[in-house]
Amino acid sequence: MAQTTVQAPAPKPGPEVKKLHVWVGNWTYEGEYNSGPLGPAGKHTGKMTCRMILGGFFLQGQFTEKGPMGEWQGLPIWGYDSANKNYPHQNYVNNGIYLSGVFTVSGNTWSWAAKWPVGEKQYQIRGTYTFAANLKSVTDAAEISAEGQTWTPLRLGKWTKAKLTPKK
Amino acid sequence: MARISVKAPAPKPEPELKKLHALVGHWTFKGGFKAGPLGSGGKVTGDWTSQMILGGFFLQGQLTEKGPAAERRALMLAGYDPVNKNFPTQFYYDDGSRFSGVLTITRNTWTYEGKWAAAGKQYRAQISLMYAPDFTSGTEKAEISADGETWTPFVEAEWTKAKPAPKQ
Repeated sequence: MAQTTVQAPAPKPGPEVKKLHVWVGNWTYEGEYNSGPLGPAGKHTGKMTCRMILGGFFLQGQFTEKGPMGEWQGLPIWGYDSANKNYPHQNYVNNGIYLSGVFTVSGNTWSWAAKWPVGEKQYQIRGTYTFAANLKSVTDAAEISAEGQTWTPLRLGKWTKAKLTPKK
Repeated sequence: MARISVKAPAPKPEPELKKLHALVGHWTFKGGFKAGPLGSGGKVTGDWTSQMILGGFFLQGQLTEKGPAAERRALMLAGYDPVNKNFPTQFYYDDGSRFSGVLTITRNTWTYEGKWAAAGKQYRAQISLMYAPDFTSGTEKAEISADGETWTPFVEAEWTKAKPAPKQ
């Protein structure tokens, strides 16, 4: 018997996925790391470009960062988990670091938590990215914990969205 | 006093990551979906291209498949977790679904185990690929479960590695 195949309409990203669009574009950032288990204190600067991929369901970034722990390149990816109502996030870095965690959003504040492996130990990190009302700049604050109870400031930074190049 | 800055040597990929090199290249596959919670049954064909990225710390794959209802694309990333001695793996699909789990490699048998989030629901998934000793072909069998106890087959496929184009 011939099988009748009906093409289902392609699924489209919902409004919660579209909240990720605030990150789309070119960003520069700078700030300072405190000394801690990840490395020495020092200033860091970086650039990140974000775009929606795979039918608009996922946000992919590409960043380069120079800081007290060296120069990094990375590939972070965010999606939306409608069952848990959060944004699973993975970050793949060219020193082998693989961060996996979730973001939640409330107003202009994106809060996140993840695990950061250092050798055979795994630290917990968490933080917030708070957008300015015009969505053109972001304040970054992060802290770290060895056991999930005592938290130490890890990093402060500021992100600035690059202006669009005027069309000629 | 002058500050002496000593650059740490760049980290090198764990030897275990070389196991992922077996998947690098271009592959095609064909097989069949079983009817189930993820969709209707029917034939599937597709191709897969992958390469090591970010200094050799991660495998990135791009998948395209034509199934009974639609064509799908996916992005896969896998790294190595030296603590748990497995390969954390993510598949991101352009219908918004996502597989998040770990890959274990035992000789020529690669087994992915994890959670498959699709259309607001979460399933457990087990996907095993048994490769030929020369890693030019493989047999895939996948099962899915809503409760982690009752498992239903959902795909079987044969994979073939494309031969490199002859030098001209």
